[in-house]
Amino acid sequence: MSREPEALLTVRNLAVNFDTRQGVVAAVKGVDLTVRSGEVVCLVGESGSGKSVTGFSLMGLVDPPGLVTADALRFDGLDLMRASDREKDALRGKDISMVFQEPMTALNPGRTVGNQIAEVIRIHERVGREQAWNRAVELLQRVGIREPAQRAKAYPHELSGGMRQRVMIAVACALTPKLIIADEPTTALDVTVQAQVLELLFALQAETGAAVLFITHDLGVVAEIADRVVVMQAGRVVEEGDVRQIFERPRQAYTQALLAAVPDVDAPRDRARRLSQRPVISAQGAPQ
Amino acid sequence: MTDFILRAEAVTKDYVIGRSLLGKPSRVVQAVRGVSLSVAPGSTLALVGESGSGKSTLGRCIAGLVRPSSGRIHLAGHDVLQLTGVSLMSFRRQVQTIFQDPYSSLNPRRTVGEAIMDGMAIHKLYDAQERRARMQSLLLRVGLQPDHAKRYPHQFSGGQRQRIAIARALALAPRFIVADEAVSALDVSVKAQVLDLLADLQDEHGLTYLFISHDLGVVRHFADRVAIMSAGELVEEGECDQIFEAPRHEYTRKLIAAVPRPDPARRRLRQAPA
Repeated sequence: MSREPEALLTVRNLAVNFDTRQGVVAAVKGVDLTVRSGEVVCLVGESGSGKSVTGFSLMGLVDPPGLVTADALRFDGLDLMRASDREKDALRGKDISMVFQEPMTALNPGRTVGNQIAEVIRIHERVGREQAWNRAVELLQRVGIREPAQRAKAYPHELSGGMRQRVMIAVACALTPKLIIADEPTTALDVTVQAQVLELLFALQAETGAAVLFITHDLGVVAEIADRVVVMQAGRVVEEGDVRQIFERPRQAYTQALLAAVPDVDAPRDRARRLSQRPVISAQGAPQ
Repeated sequence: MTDFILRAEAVTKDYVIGRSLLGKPSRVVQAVRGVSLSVAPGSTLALVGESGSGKSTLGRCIAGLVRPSSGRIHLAGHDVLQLTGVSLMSFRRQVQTIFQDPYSSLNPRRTVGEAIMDGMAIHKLYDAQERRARMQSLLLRVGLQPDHAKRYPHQFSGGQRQRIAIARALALAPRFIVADEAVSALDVSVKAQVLDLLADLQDEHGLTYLFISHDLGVVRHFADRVAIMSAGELVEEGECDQIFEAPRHEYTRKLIAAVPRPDPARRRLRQAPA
């Protein structure tokens, strides 16, 4: 057997607990995850499955009372559990970057988009204002924004949702990251805009060879982009496999039920058909 | 001629967003531009479009929540533009709306039981004891427990809140329900359960749905007929399978093609691993 390519990201027994007044809430309960260089891994689950918290914990974005523990958390040779804040800051935004679901809340409403891209560049590289600004304009052009020199002076609210997400992608790709964590980046977009944004993101991914950890609940998007799929439910990984195995031969009942619940846009209308014949265990239980 | 429960003719809705110094409209958004539609009783018409297409505004005009700028709407035996007093009460009983976010359409300070019984009390239907019994059987019917009646909306998950909204809509035994992105915010499995519930209720009560949605998978599964809207206009309307298999319009084709299919064998964006 040939040797596995070196893992870019290794996560072992990741747990995230939130200590609340009502007691400890375990959002992530012992997750193992591996992402190799250049690989697209989709983290799939319903709300409350812990998929977003997993992504946030990798970026060090879980704030108290959230507590992150793990047996191992390694990125590109660096032990993230032991790394200093300075080492982690050097990583975030450069080697690991993130695209969020809602660019309106992720972008600073009071600064032009050009400034926000230039800022990321200047934090990590010793370049002058003008040079950083010019690179920001170049990046806006690369993410398909017309008249980038003018648009760079725009504030986020002056752009459409699809444009804002392109700006987020420009920020995320500014320093050719090794890993992009994308948390539901197209969920809020119209379907035709979603197609354009996905096309852009994965054209850049192919160009730069970045690995992508793509967090989503949309199984259509997963089938379109994933190399490997990790299915999460109630804080645990229930199944993991390559994209064809997951869709064509799902092993776990939960994965099967999840796939069966997706209405098929290509199947003729059948008034008698019901989607939820199989018991689906949702993460959202009845209130106690 | 078929007896339609809904007939909308040349419905237009303009919003004035800017006025001159003298108060004359200077900037107008035409949210809905001359749309005509008919719906047969007991069927589901899906109103499909992307954000800004005018589908929700048209839905609100039809539900009598927004007054159209021009056009005619006849729904459940009422002229929607001429509703007053008794006819308004009768219309409100027969036409109910379910919104995307039940958390903002349920009063946070009323218990779930009160929310479901309020409509019956306002319309003076049944006596107090019958209202309570009916509320409890509705909770059971939508998959909740009678003792949930004492709780408040924030104590429920999104899927449960949508079930509450459905129970409340059903309390007045309506004939027509406008469901505006009613399952869009729900998880895959919860969405499946709520869609199944809506389908069963339609069969049981002969309900007619105006189902406003941007989710084409859900629409294919759920609708008898489909109306596609773009920029305030009706692009095309037809039987569900015809719209999906033989769309007449380029816009409809583009919309359907853009839906990502849950089938890795058909992917277009990236090659699947060997």
